[in-house]
Amino acid sequence: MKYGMTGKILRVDLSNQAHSVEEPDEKIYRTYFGGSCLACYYLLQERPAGIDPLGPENLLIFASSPLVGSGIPGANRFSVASISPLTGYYGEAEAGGWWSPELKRAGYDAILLEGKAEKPVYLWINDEEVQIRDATHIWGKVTGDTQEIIRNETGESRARVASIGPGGENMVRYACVVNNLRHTNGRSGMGAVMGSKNLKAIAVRGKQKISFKNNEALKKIIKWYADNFMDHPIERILHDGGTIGWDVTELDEAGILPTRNFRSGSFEDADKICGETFHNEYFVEADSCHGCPIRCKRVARSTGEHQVDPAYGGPEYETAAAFGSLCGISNLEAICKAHELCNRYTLDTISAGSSIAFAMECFENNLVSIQDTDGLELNFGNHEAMLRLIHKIAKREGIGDLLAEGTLRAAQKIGQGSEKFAMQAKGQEMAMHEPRGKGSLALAYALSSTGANHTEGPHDYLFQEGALGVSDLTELGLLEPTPAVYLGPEKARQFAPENCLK
Amino acid sequence: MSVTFISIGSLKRFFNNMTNGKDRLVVEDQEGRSLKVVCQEIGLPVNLISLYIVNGKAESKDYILQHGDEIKLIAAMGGG
Repeated sequence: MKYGMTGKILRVDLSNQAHSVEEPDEKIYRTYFGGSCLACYYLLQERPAGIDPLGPENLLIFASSPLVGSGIPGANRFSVASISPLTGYYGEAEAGGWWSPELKRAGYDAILLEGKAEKPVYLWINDEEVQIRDATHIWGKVTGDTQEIIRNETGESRARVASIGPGGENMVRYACVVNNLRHTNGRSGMGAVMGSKNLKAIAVRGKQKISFKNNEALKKIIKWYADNFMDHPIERILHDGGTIGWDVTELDEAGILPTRNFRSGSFEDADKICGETFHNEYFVEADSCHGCPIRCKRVARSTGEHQVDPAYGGPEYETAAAFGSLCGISNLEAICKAHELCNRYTLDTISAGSSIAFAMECFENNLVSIQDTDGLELNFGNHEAMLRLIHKIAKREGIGDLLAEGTLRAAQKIGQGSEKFAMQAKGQEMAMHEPRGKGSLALAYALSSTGANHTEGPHDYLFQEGALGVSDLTELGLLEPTPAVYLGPEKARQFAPENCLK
Repeated sequence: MSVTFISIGSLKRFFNNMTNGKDRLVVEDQEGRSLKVVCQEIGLPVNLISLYIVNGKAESKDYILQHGDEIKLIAAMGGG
Protein backbone atom coordinates (compact mmCIF):
# COMPACT_ATOMS: atom_id res chain seq x y z
CA MET A 1 0.00 0.00 0.00
CA LYS A 2 1.65 3.17 -1.10
CA TYR A 3 -0.65 6.06 -1.73
CA GLY A 4 -3.38 7.69 0.30
CA MET A 5 -3.67 4.91 2.85
CA THR A 6 -1.13 3.69 5.38
CA GLY A 7 -2.12 0.06 4.84
CA LYS A 8 -2.41 -0.53 8.59
CA ILE A 9 -5.42 -1.07 10.77
CA LEU A 10 -5.07 -1.08 14.53
CA ARG A 11 -7.11 -3.69 16.39
CA VAL A 12 -7.53 -3.12 20.12
CA ASP A 13 -8.82 -5.79 22.50
CA LEU A 14 -9.97 -3.75 25.47
CA SER A 15 -10.89 -6.82 27.53
CA ASN A 16 -7.33 -8.10 27.46
CA GLN A 17 -5.61 -4.73 27.15
CA ALA A 18 -3.91 -5.90 23.97
CA HIS A 19 -3.50 -4.53 20.50
CA SER A 20 -2.27 -5.70 17.13
CA VAL A 21 -1.74 -4.30 13.67
CA GLU A 22 -3.36 -5.77 10.59
CA GLU A 23 -2.38 -5.10 7.02
CA PRO A 24 -5.40 -5.94 4.87
CA ASP A 25 -4.98 -6.97 1.30
CA GLU A 26 -5.02 -4.08 -1.16
CA LYS A 27 -8.20 -5.59 -2.60
CA ILE A 28 -10.05 -4.69 0.62
CA TYR A 29 -9.01 -1.06 0.32
CA ARG A 30 -9.87 -0.87 -3.37
CA THR A 31 -13.27 -2.42 -2.74
CA TYR A 32 -14.27 -0.56 0.44
CA PHE A 33 -11.89 2.47 0.40
CA GLY A 34 -12.35 3.67 3.95
CA GLY A 35 -14.78 5.50 6.20
CA SER A 36 -18.22 3.98 6.62
CA CYS A 37 -17.77 1.46 3.78
CA LEU A 38 -14.72 -0.07 5.41
CA ALA A 39 -16.39 0.03 8.82
CA CYS A 40 -19.51 -1.67 7.49
CA TYR A 41 -17.37 -4.38 5.88
CA TYR A 42 -15.76 -5.26 9.21
CA LEU A 43 -19.06 -5.20 11.09
CA LEU A 44 -20.76 -7.47 8.57
CA GLN A 45 -17.79 -9.83 8.45
CA GLU A 46 -17.17 -10.10 12.15
CA ARG A 47 -20.40 -9.59 14.04
CA PRO A 48 -23.69 -11.52 13.87
CA ALA A 49 -27.05 -9.79 13.88
CA GLY A 50 -28.80 -9.24 17.18
CA ILE A 51 -25.85 -8.53 19.47
CA ASP A 52 -26.25 -6.10 22.35
CA PRO A 53 -25.02 -2.69 21.12
CA LEU A 54 -23.91 -1.85 24.65
CA GLY A 55 -22.32 -5.21 25.33
CA PRO A 56 -18.65 -6.16 24.96
CA GLU A 57 -19.35 -8.15 21.82
CA ASN A 58 -20.07 -5.00 19.83
CA LEU A 59 -17.33 -3.73 17.55
CA LEU A 60 -16.62 0.01 17.47
CA ILE A 61 -14.72 1.37 14.49
CA PHE A 62 -13.02 4.67 13.80
CA ALA A 63 -12.20 4.86 10.08
CA SER A 64 -10.41 7.43 7.97
CA SER A 65 -10.29 7.33 4.15
CA PRO A 66 -7.89 7.74 1.19
CA LEU A 67 -7.95 11.51 0.64
CA VAL A 68 -7.69 12.47 4.29
CA GLY A 69 -4.53 14.38 4.98
CA SER A 70 -4.11 15.43 1.34
CA GLY A 71 -5.08 19.02 2.10
CA ILE A 72 -8.07 18.83 -0.21
CA PRO A 73 -10.91 20.83 1.41
CA GLY A 74 -13.42 18.57 3.07
CA ALA A 75 -11.06 15.59 2.99
CA ASN A 76 -10.52 15.60 6.73
CA ARG A 77 -13.36 13.43 7.92
CA PHE A 78 -13.74 10.08 9.61
CA SER A 79 -16.60 7.75 10.42
CA VAL A 80 -17.32 6.18 13.77
CA ALA A 81 -19.47 3.10 13.22
CA SER A 82 -20.93 0.29 15.27
CA ILE A 83 -24.24 -1.40 16.06
CA SER A 84 -26.33 1.53 17.26
CA PRO A 85 -27.88 1.50 20.74
CA LEU A 86 -30.71 3.62 19.35
CA THR A 87 -31.75 1.36 16.50
CA GLY A 88 -30.07 -2.00 17.06
CA TYR A 89 -28.86 -1.83 13.46
CA TYR A 90 -25.78 -0.45 11.75
CA GLY A 91 -25.08 3.05 12.98
CA GLU A 92 -22.52 5.63 12.01
CA ALA A 93 -21.59 9.24 12.41
CA GLU A 94 -19.06 11.39 10.59
CA ALA A 95 -17.02 14.27 11.85
CA GLY A 96 -14.50 16.67 10.39
CA GLY A 97 -11.94 18.60 12.36
CA TRP A 98 -8.33 17.54 12.84
CA TRP A 99 -8.41 14.06 14.34
CA SER A 100 -8.58 12.00 11.17
CA PRO A 101 -5.50 13.46 9.41
CA GLU A 102 -3.61 13.02 12.67
CA LEU A 103 -4.54 9.32 12.81
CA LYS A 104 -3.16 8.78 9.34
CA ARG A 105 0.02 10.68 10.14
CA ALA A 106 0.34 8.39 13.16
CA GLY A 107 0.33 5.48 10.74
CA TYR A 108 -3.19 4.03 10.83
CA ASP A 109 -6.21 4.05 8.53
CA ALA A 110 -8.69 2.75 11.08
CA ILE A 111 -9.07 1.46 14.61
CA LEU A 112 -11.17 -1.59 15.53
CA LEU A 113 -12.18 -1.65 19.21
CA GLU A 114 -13.39 -4.88 20.77
CA GLY A 115 -14.42 -6.08 24.21
CA LYS A 116 -14.66 -3.94 27.29
CA ALA A 117 -11.92 -2.65 29.55
CA GLU A 118 -12.23 -3.68 33.17
CA LYS A 119 -11.69 -0.07 34.27
CA PRO A 120 -11.84 3.20 32.32
CA VAL A 121 -8.98 3.62 29.88
CA TYR A 122 -7.89 5.89 27.09
CA LEU A 123 -5.93 5.02 24.00
CA TRP A 124 -2.78 6.99 23.25
CA ILE A 125 -1.39 6.64 19.73
CA ASN A 126 1.88 8.40 19.11
CA ASP A 127 3.44 7.74 15.70
CA GLU A 128 2.44 4.06 15.58
CA GLU A 129 3.29 3.46 19.22
CA VAL A 130 0.11 2.45 21.06
CA GLN A 131 -0.60 2.58 24.78
CA ILE A 132 -3.74 1.70 26.68
CA ARG A 133 -3.65 4.03 29.65
CA ASP A 134 -5.61 4.28 32.85
CA ALA A 135 -8.47 6.82 32.71
CA THR A 136 -10.14 6.29 36.07
CA HIS A 137 -9.00 9.77 37.14
CA ILE A 138 -10.60 11.30 34.03
CA TRP A 139 -13.86 9.36 34.13
CA GLY A 140 -16.65 11.81 34.90
CA LYS A 141 -14.86 14.78 33.35
CA VAL A 142 -16.31 16.85 30.53
CA THR A 143 -14.51 16.91 27.19
CA GLY A 144 -12.59 20.13 27.84
CA ASP A 145 -11.02 18.84 31.05
CA THR A 146 -10.42 15.46 29.45
CA GLN A 147 -8.49 16.95 26.57
CA GLU A 148 -6.38 19.12 28.84
CA ILE A 149 -5.49 16.27 31.19
CA ILE A 150 -4.54 13.93 28.37
CA ARG A 151 -2.41 16.55 26.62
CA ASN A 152 -0.60 17.26 29.90
CA GLU A 153 -0.05 13.59 30.68
CA THR A 154 1.26 12.74 27.25
CA GLY A 155 3.30 15.92 27.01
CA GLU A 156 1.78 16.55 23.58
CA SER A 157 -0.03 19.87 23.48
CA ARG A 158 -1.02 19.19 19.87
CA ALA A 159 -2.48 15.76 20.44
CA ARG A 160 -5.90 15.44 18.86
CA VAL A 161 -8.35 13.99 21.35
CA ALA A 162 -11.65 12.29 20.50
CA SER A 163 -13.51 11.68 23.74
CA ILE A 164 -16.74 11.15 25.55
CA GLY A 165 -18.12 13.09 28.49
CA PRO A 166 -20.64 11.99 31.13
CA GLY A 167 -23.28 11.45 28.45
CA GLY A 168 -21.24 8.72 26.81
CA GLU A 169 -20.05 7.30 30.13
CA ASN A 170 -23.67 6.98 31.28
CA MET A 171 -24.55 5.38 27.95
CA VAL A 172 -27.18 7.92 26.99
CA ARG A 173 -28.41 6.15 23.87
CA TYR A 174 -27.69 9.18 21.67
CA ALA A 175 -24.36 10.11 23.20
CA CYS A 176 -21.82 11.26 20.65
CA VAL A 177 -18.04 11.46 20.26
CA VAL A 178 -16.42 14.90 20.27
CA ASN A 179 -12.95 15.74 18.95
CA ASN A 180 -11.13 18.98 19.68
CA LEU A 181 -14.21 20.10 21.65
CA ARG A 182 -16.01 21.33 18.53
CA HIS A 183 -16.23 18.51 16.00
CA THR A 184 -18.80 15.84 16.56
CA ASN A 185 -19.60 12.32 15.42
CA GLY A 186 -23.15 13.16 16.39
CA ARG A 187 -25.69 10.57 15.46
CA SER A 188 -26.42 6.91 16.15
CA GLY A 189 -25.20 6.87 19.76
CA MET A 190 -21.56 6.04 19.05
CA GLY A 191 -20.53 7.78 22.28
CA ALA A 192 -22.69 5.36 24.23
CA VAL A 193 -20.91 2.41 22.63
CA MET A 194 -17.59 3.98 23.56
CA GLY A 195 -18.83 4.40 27.13
CA SER A 196 -20.03 0.80 27.25
CA LYS A 197 -16.44 -0.26 26.58
CA ASN A 198 -15.05 1.94 29.37
CA LEU A 199 -13.13 3.80 26.67
CA LYS A 200 -12.85 7.48 27.63
CA ALA A 201 -10.82 8.84 24.73
CA ILE A 202 -8.55 8.17 21.78
CA ALA A 203 -5.69 10.65 21.63
CA VAL A 204 -3.51 10.77 18.55
CA ARG A 205 -0.30 12.46 17.51
CA GLY A 206 1.41 11.74 14.23
CA LYS A 207 4.38 13.27 12.44
CA GLN A 208 4.74 10.90 9.52
CA LYS A 209 4.20 12.01 5.98
CA ILE A 210 1.28 10.56 4.04
CA SER A 211 2.19 9.66 0.48
CA PHE A 212 -0.02 10.55 -2.44
CA LYS A 213 0.40 9.53 -6.06
CA ASN A 214 0.57 12.94 -7.67
CA ASN A 215 1.45 15.77 -5.30
CA GLU A 216 1.64 18.36 -8.09
CA ALA A 217 -1.91 17.61 -9.17
CA LEU A 218 -3.05 17.82 -5.54
CA LYS A 219 -1.42 21.20 -5.13
CA LYS A 220 -3.13 22.49 -8.27
CA ILE A 221 -6.54 21.31 -7.08
CA ILE A 222 -6.04 22.81 -3.64
CA LYS A 223 -4.93 26.13 -5.08
CA TRP A 224 -7.74 26.21 -7.63
CA TYR A 225 -10.28 25.57 -4.90
CA ALA A 226 -8.85 28.23 -2.59
CA ASP A 227 -8.94 30.76 -5.45
CA ASN A 228 -12.44 29.94 -6.64
CA PHE A 229 -14.61 28.53 -3.87
CA MET A 230 -16.28 31.84 -3.12
CA ASP A 231 -17.75 31.80 -6.63
CA HIS A 232 -19.94 28.88 -5.57
CA PRO A 233 -23.05 30.36 -3.88
CA ILE A 234 -23.33 27.64 -1.22
CA GLU A 235 -19.65 27.82 -0.27
CA ARG A 236 -19.99 31.58 -0.03
CA ILE A 237 -23.04 31.30 2.23
CA LEU A 238 -21.29 28.77 4.48
CA HIS A 239 -18.11 30.85 4.61
CA ASP A 240 -19.98 33.98 5.57
CA GLY A 241 -22.61 32.55 7.87
CA GLY A 242 -22.16 28.88 8.65
CA THR A 243 -25.07 26.47 8.51
CA ILE A 244 -26.99 28.58 11.04
CA GLY A 245 -26.79 31.36 8.48
CA TRP A 246 -28.11 29.15 5.71
CA ASP A 247 -31.24 27.38 6.88
CA VAL A 248 -33.30 28.91 9.70
CA THR A 249 -34.90 31.76 7.75
CA GLU A 250 -35.23 29.70 4.59
CA LEU A 251 -36.95 26.74 6.19
CA ASP A 252 -39.25 29.03 8.13
CA GLU A 253 -40.32 30.96 5.02
CA ALA A 254 -40.89 27.67 3.20
CA GLY A 255 -43.08 26.48 6.07
CA ILE A 256 -40.86 23.51 6.93
CA LEU A 257 -38.95 24.66 10.01
CA PRO A 258 -39.67 21.96 12.62
CA THR A 259 -41.59 23.79 15.33
CA ARG A 260 -42.94 22.58 18.67
CA ASN A 261 -42.11 18.95 18.06
CA PHE A 262 -43.15 19.06 14.40
CA ARG A 263 -46.62 20.42 15.24
CA SER A 264 -46.03 23.09 12.65
CA GLY A 265 -43.48 24.29 10.10
CA SER A 266 -43.23 27.95 10.95
CA PHE A 267 -41.92 29.58 14.10
CA GLU A 268 -43.11 33.05 15.01
CA ASP A 269 -39.70 33.89 16.52
CA ALA A 270 -37.53 32.45 13.75
CA ASP A 271 -35.86 35.83 13.38
CA LYS A 272 -34.62 35.59 16.98
CA ILE A 273 -32.73 32.35 16.36
CA CYS A 274 -31.52 32.87 12.80
CA GLY A 275 -28.01 33.35 11.54
CA GLU A 276 -28.21 37.12 11.28
CA THR A 277 -29.20 37.45 14.94
CA PHE A 278 -26.48 35.01 15.95
CA HIS A 279 -23.85 37.00 14.10
CA ASN A 280 -25.02 40.28 15.59
CA GLU A 281 -25.12 39.06 19.18
CA TYR A 282 -22.93 36.01 19.92
CA PHE A 283 -20.55 35.40 17.02
CA VAL A 284 -16.84 35.53 17.88
CA GLU A 285 -15.09 34.08 14.86
CA ALA A 286 -15.21 31.38 12.21
CA ASP A 287 -13.37 28.09 12.63
CA SER A 288 -12.26 25.42 10.26
CA CYS A 289 -11.38 21.82 9.70
CA HIS A 290 -8.01 20.62 8.40
CA GLY A 291 -7.25 21.99 4.96
CA CYS A 292 -10.54 23.76 4.37
CA PRO A 293 -10.75 27.46 3.46
CA ILE A 294 -14.54 27.66 3.80
CA ARG A 295 -14.33 27.98 7.60
CA CYS A 296 -18.01 27.23 8.08
CA LYS A 297 -17.76 26.53 11.81
CA ARG A 298 -19.07 29.27 14.11
CA VAL A 299 -17.70 30.17 17.54
CA ALA A 300 -20.03 31.72 20.11
CA ARG A 301 -19.48 33.66 23.29
CA SER A 302 -21.80 35.22 25.84
CA THR A 303 -21.12 36.83 29.19
CA GLY A 304 -24.81 37.25 29.91
CA GLU A 305 -27.18 35.17 31.99
CA HIS A 306 -26.06 31.92 30.32
CA GLN A 307 -22.32 32.26 29.97
CA VAL A 308 -21.23 30.59 26.79
CA ASP A 309 -17.66 29.31 26.53
CA PRO A 310 -16.17 29.81 23.03
CA ALA A 311 -13.83 26.84 23.53
CA TYR A 312 -16.74 24.63 22.47
CA GLY A 313 -17.48 26.45 19.24
CA GLY A 314 -21.02 27.44 18.40
CA PRO A 315 -24.34 26.10 17.15
CA GLU A 316 -24.91 24.65 13.71
CA TYR A 317 -28.33 24.96 12.13
CA GLU A 318 -29.48 21.60 13.52
CA THR A 319 -28.70 22.71 17.06
CA ALA A 320 -30.35 26.10 16.63
CA ALA A 321 -33.54 24.43 15.44
CA ALA A 322 -33.48 21.43 17.80
CA PHE A 323 -33.20 23.58 20.93
CA GLY A 324 -34.93 26.54 19.30
CA SER A 325 -38.03 26.21 17.17
CA LEU A 326 -38.51 22.52 17.94
CA CYS A 327 -38.82 23.37 21.64
CA GLY A 328 -40.62 26.67 20.99
CA ILE A 329 -37.60 28.53 22.40
CA SER A 330 -36.55 31.95 21.13
CA ASN A 331 -33.73 32.66 23.59
CA LEU A 332 -30.67 32.33 21.38
CA GLU A 333 -28.24 32.66 24.28
CA ALA A 334 -29.84 29.62 25.92
CA ILE A 335 -29.57 27.76 22.61
CA CYS A 336 -25.84 28.58 22.42
CA LYS A 337 -25.50 27.35 25.99
CA ALA A 338 -27.31 24.14 25.09
CA HIS A 339 -24.82 23.60 22.28
CA GLU A 340 -21.92 24.07 24.71
CA LEU A 341 -23.40 21.65 27.25
CA CYS A 342 -23.93 18.98 24.61
CA ASN A 343 -20.31 19.26 23.49
CA ARG A 344 -19.11 19.08 27.10
CA TYR A 345 -21.29 16.12 27.98
CA THR A 346 -21.20 14.54 24.48
CA LEU A 347 -24.87 14.42 23.58
CA ASP A 348 -26.17 14.51 20.03
CA THR A 349 -27.93 17.88 19.84
CA ILE A 350 -30.58 16.63 17.40
CA SER A 351 -31.71 13.69 19.52
CA ALA A 352 -31.33 15.64 22.77
CA GLY A 353 -33.43 18.53 21.47
CA SER A 354 -35.96 16.12 20.04
CA SER A 355 -36.20 14.18 23.32
CA ILE A 356 -36.81 17.42 25.19
CA ALA A 357 -39.43 18.55 22.68
CA PHE A 358 -41.10 15.15 23.04
CA ALA A 359 -41.17 15.62 26.82
CA MET A 360 -42.65 19.10 26.38
CA GLU A 361 -45.44 17.79 24.19
CA CYS A 362 -46.15 15.00 26.67
CA PHE A 363 -46.27 17.54 29.50
CA GLU A 364 -48.62 19.88 27.64
CA ASN A 365 -50.89 16.93 26.93
CA ASN A 366 -50.85 15.83 30.58
CA LEU A 367 -49.12 12.55 29.83
CA VAL A 368 -46.39 13.35 32.34
CA SER A 369 -46.99 15.31 35.53
CA ILE A 370 -44.97 17.94 37.33
CA GLN A 371 -43.96 15.18 39.76
CA ASP A 372 -42.69 13.09 36.86
CA THR A 373 -40.62 16.03 35.60
CA ASP A 374 -38.94 16.66 38.96
CA GLY A 375 -40.81 19.94 39.29
CA LEU A 376 -39.84 21.27 35.87
CA GLU A 377 -42.60 22.99 33.93
CA LEU A 378 -41.96 21.50 30.55
CA ASN A 379 -44.00 23.88 28.46
CA PHE A 380 -42.79 24.71 25.00
CA GLY A 381 -40.68 27.84 25.22
CA ASN A 382 -39.26 27.22 28.70
CA HIS A 383 -35.55 27.58 27.98
CA GLU A 384 -34.53 27.24 31.64
CA ALA A 385 -36.23 23.85 31.82
CA MET A 386 -34.55 22.86 28.54
CA LEU A 387 -31.10 23.61 29.97
CA ARG A 388 -31.87 21.79 33.22
CA LEU A 389 -32.96 18.76 31.27
CA ILE A 390 -29.69 18.57 29.35
CA HIS A 391 -27.83 18.21 32.66
CA LYS A 392 -30.33 15.59 33.85
CA ILE A 393 -30.13 13.59 30.62
CA ALA A 394 -26.32 13.49 30.64
CA LYS A 395 -26.31 12.34 34.26
CA ARG A 396 -29.40 10.12 33.88
CA GLU A 397 -31.07 11.85 36.83
CA GLY A 398 -34.82 11.79 37.39
CA ILE A 399 -36.74 12.21 34.16
CA GLY A 400 -33.36 12.56 32.45
CA ASP A 401 -32.91 8.83 32.85
CA LEU A 402 -36.09 8.22 30.84
CA LEU A 403 -35.26 10.77 28.16
CA ALA A 404 -31.72 9.39 27.86
CA GLU A 405 -33.31 6.31 26.29
CA GLY A 406 -34.51 8.30 23.27
CA THR A 407 -38.05 9.12 22.25
CA LEU A 408 -39.04 5.64 21.04
CA ARG A 409 -38.23 3.92 24.32
CA ALA A 410 -39.44 6.84 26.44
CA ALA A 411 -42.78 6.72 24.62
CA GLN A 412 -43.01 2.96 25.11
CA LYS A 413 -42.60 3.51 28.83
CA ILE A 414 -44.98 6.47 29.12
CA GLY A 415 -47.59 4.88 26.88
CA GLN A 416 -50.97 6.68 26.87
CA GLY A 417 -50.62 7.44 23.18
CA SER A 418 -47.33 9.29 23.59
CA GLU A 419 -45.91 7.20 20.76
CA LYS A 420 -47.36 9.68 18.29
CA PHE A 421 -45.16 12.39 19.80
CA ALA A 422 -41.94 10.42 19.25
CA MET A 423 -40.56 11.87 16.01
CA GLN A 424 -38.25 9.03 15.03
CA ALA A 425 -37.64 6.24 12.56
CA LYS A 426 -36.15 2.95 13.72
CA GLY A 427 -35.42 4.64 17.07
CA GLN A 428 -33.34 7.57 15.83
CA GLU A 429 -34.90 11.01 16.04
CA MET A 430 -35.61 13.03 12.90
CA ALA A 431 -33.27 15.85 12.01
CA MET A 432 -34.44 19.44 11.69
CA HIS A 433 -35.76 19.06 8.16
CA GLU A 434 -39.46 18.48 7.77
CA PRO A 435 -40.00 15.34 5.70
CA ARG A 436 -43.44 16.59 4.70
CA GLY A 437 -41.68 19.36 2.79
CA LYS A 438 -38.86 17.29 1.28
CA GLY A 439 -39.95 14.08 -0.42
CA SER A 440 -36.51 12.54 -0.98
CA LEU A 441 -35.52 13.28 2.58
CA ALA A 442 -38.70 11.59 3.76
CA LEU A 443 -37.61 8.50 1.85
CA ALA A 444 -34.16 8.76 3.42
CA TYR A 445 -35.62 8.94 6.91
CA ALA A 446 -37.74 5.88 6.22
CA LEU A 447 -35.21 3.79 4.31
CA SER A 448 -31.84 4.43 5.92
CA SER A 449 -30.55 1.61 8.06
CA THR A 450 -29.37 4.27 10.51
CA GLY A 451 -32.88 5.58 11.12
CA ALA A 452 -34.04 9.16 10.53
CA ASN A 453 -30.79 10.71 9.41
CA HIS A 454 -30.58 13.81 7.22
CA THR A 455 -27.02 13.01 6.19
CA GLU A 456 -28.24 9.79 4.60
CA GLY A 457 -30.31 11.49 1.95
CA PRO A 458 -30.55 14.37 -0.48
CA HIS A 459 -32.22 17.71 0.21
CA ASP A 460 -34.90 18.17 -2.40
CA TYR A 461 -34.66 21.92 -2.91
CA LEU A 462 -31.22 21.43 -4.39
CA PHE A 463 -32.61 19.02 -6.99
CA GLN A 464 -35.71 20.77 -8.28
CA GLU A 465 -35.86 21.93 -11.87
CA GLY A 466 -33.24 24.59 -12.46
CA ALA A 467 -31.56 24.03 -9.11
CA LEU A 468 -27.89 23.75 -8.41
CA GLY A 469 -27.72 19.99 -8.02
CA VAL A 470 -29.63 18.99 -11.15
CA SER A 471 -26.83 19.25 -13.70
CA ASP A 472 -24.69 16.93 -11.57
CA LEU A 473 -27.38 14.27 -11.71
CA THR A 474 -28.41 14.37 -15.33
CA GLU A 475 -25.68 11.93 -16.28
CA LEU A 476 -26.80 9.64 -13.47
CA GLY A 477 -30.33 9.51 -14.77
CA LEU A 478 -32.11 12.46 -13.20
CA LEU A 479 -33.81 13.61 -16.37
CA GLU A 480 -37.06 14.99 -14.99
CA PRO A 481 -36.58 16.58 -11.56
CA THR A 482 -39.62 16.74 -9.32
CA PRO A 483 -40.77 19.48 -6.94
CA ALA A 484 -39.44 19.31 -3.40
CA VAL A 485 -42.75 18.55 -1.73
CA TYR A 486 -43.77 15.87 -4.22
CA LEU A 487 -43.66 12.24 -3.07
CA GLY A 488 -44.65 9.83 -5.79
CA PRO A 489 -43.16 7.24 -8.14
CA GLU A 490 -41.02 9.78 -9.96
CA LYS A 491 -39.53 10.91 -6.66
CA ALA A 492 -38.66 7.33 -5.77
CA ARG A 493 -36.88 6.99 -9.13
CA GLN A 494 -35.09 10.29 -8.46
CA PHE A 495 -33.93 9.15 -5.04
CA ALA A 496 -31.33 6.69 -6.33
CA PRO A 497 -29.20 9.10 -8.43
CA GLU A 498 -29.64 11.87 -5.83
CA ASN A 499 -28.34 9.56 -3.15
CA CYS A 500 -25.15 8.98 -5.12
CA LEU A 501 -24.18 12.56 -4.38
CA LYS A 502 -25.12 12.67 -0.70
CA MET B 1 -43.55 50.78 -12.98
CA SER B 2 -41.47 49.18 -10.24
CA VAL B 3 -41.16 45.99 -8.27
CA THR B 4 -39.47 45.51 -4.91
CA PHE B 5 -37.19 42.69 -3.86
CA ILE B 6 -37.05 42.11 -0.11
CA SER B 7 -33.72 40.52 0.74
CA ILE B 8 -33.81 37.92 3.49
CA GLY B 9 -31.76 35.05 4.81
CA SER B 10 -28.72 33.71 3.09
CA LEU B 11 -29.48 35.47 -0.20
CA LYS B 12 -29.05 38.86 1.46
CA ARG B 13 -25.37 38.89 0.74
CA PHE B 14 -26.04 38.72 -2.99
CA PHE B 15 -28.09 41.89 -2.71
CA ASN B 16 -25.68 43.85 -0.55
CA ASN B 17 -23.93 45.70 -3.34
CA MET B 18 -27.24 46.83 -4.72
CA THR B 19 -29.14 47.99 -1.66
CA ASN B 20 -26.63 50.11 0.33
CA GLY B 21 -27.28 47.94 3.36
CA LYS B 22 -31.05 48.22 3.24
CA ASP B 23 -33.22 45.15 2.94
CA ARG B 24 -35.16 46.32 -0.10
CA LEU B 25 -34.20 46.71 -3.72
CA VAL B 26 -36.54 48.61 -5.97
CA VAL B 27 -36.17 47.73 -9.62
CA GLU B 28 -37.77 49.87 -12.27
CA ASP B 29 -39.34 49.01 -15.61
CA GLN B 30 -39.66 45.26 -15.07
CA GLU B 31 -43.39 44.91 -15.57
CA GLY B 32 -44.15 42.16 -18.05
CA ARG B 33 -40.86 40.35 -17.58
CA SER B 34 -40.39 37.00 -15.84
CA LEU B 35 -39.03 36.68 -12.33
CA LYS B 36 -36.24 34.35 -13.40
CA VAL B 37 -34.95 36.67 -16.10
CA VAL B 38 -34.96 39.69 -13.83
CA CYS B 39 -33.19 37.79 -11.07
CA GLN B 40 -30.53 36.68 -13.51
CA GLU B 41 -30.03 40.20 -14.79
CA ILE B 42 -29.55 41.69 -11.35
CA GLY B 43 -26.92 39.05 -10.64
CA LEU B 44 -28.62 36.67 -8.25
CA PRO B 45 -27.67 32.95 -8.15
CA VAL B 46 -30.87 31.71 -9.76
CA ASN B 47 -29.85 28.06 -9.44
CA LEU B 48 -29.89 28.48 -5.67
CA ILE B 49 -33.34 30.08 -5.44
CA SER B 50 -35.85 27.46 -4.39
CA LEU B 51 -38.92 29.60 -3.77
CA TYR B 52 -40.23 32.80 -5.25
CA ILE B 53 -42.78 34.43 -2.96
CA VAL B 54 -44.68 37.26 -4.61
CA ASN B 55 -47.00 39.33 -2.45
CA GLY B 56 -47.00 36.53 0.13
CA LYS B 57 -47.81 33.75 -2.33
CA ALA B 58 -45.49 31.16 -3.84
CA GLU B 59 -45.12 31.61 -7.61
CA SER B 60 -43.09 29.87 -10.27
CA LYS B 61 -39.90 31.34 -11.62
CA ASP B 62 -41.79 32.14 -14.83
CA TYR B 63 -44.20 34.47 -13.06
CA ILE B 64 -44.67 37.68 -15.02
CA LEU B 65 -44.00 40.70 -12.87
CA GLN B 66 -46.57 43.39 -12.32
CA HIS B 67 -46.21 46.89 -11.01
CA GLY B 68 -46.02 47.00 -7.23
CA ASP B 69 -45.09 43.36 -6.74
CA GLU B 70 -43.07 42.61 -3.60
CA ILE B 71 -40.83 39.59 -3.97
CA LYS B 72 -39.05 37.47 -1.41
CA LEU B 73 -36.53 34.91 -2.66
CA ILE B 74 -35.74 31.83 -0.61
CA ALA B 75 -32.50 29.94 -1.09
CA ALA B 76 -32.44 26.18 -1.33
CA MET B 77 -31.72 24.70 2.06
CA GLY B 78 -29.27 21.94 2.73
CA GLY B 79 -27.94 20.22 5.76
CA GLY B 80 -26.32 21.62 8.83
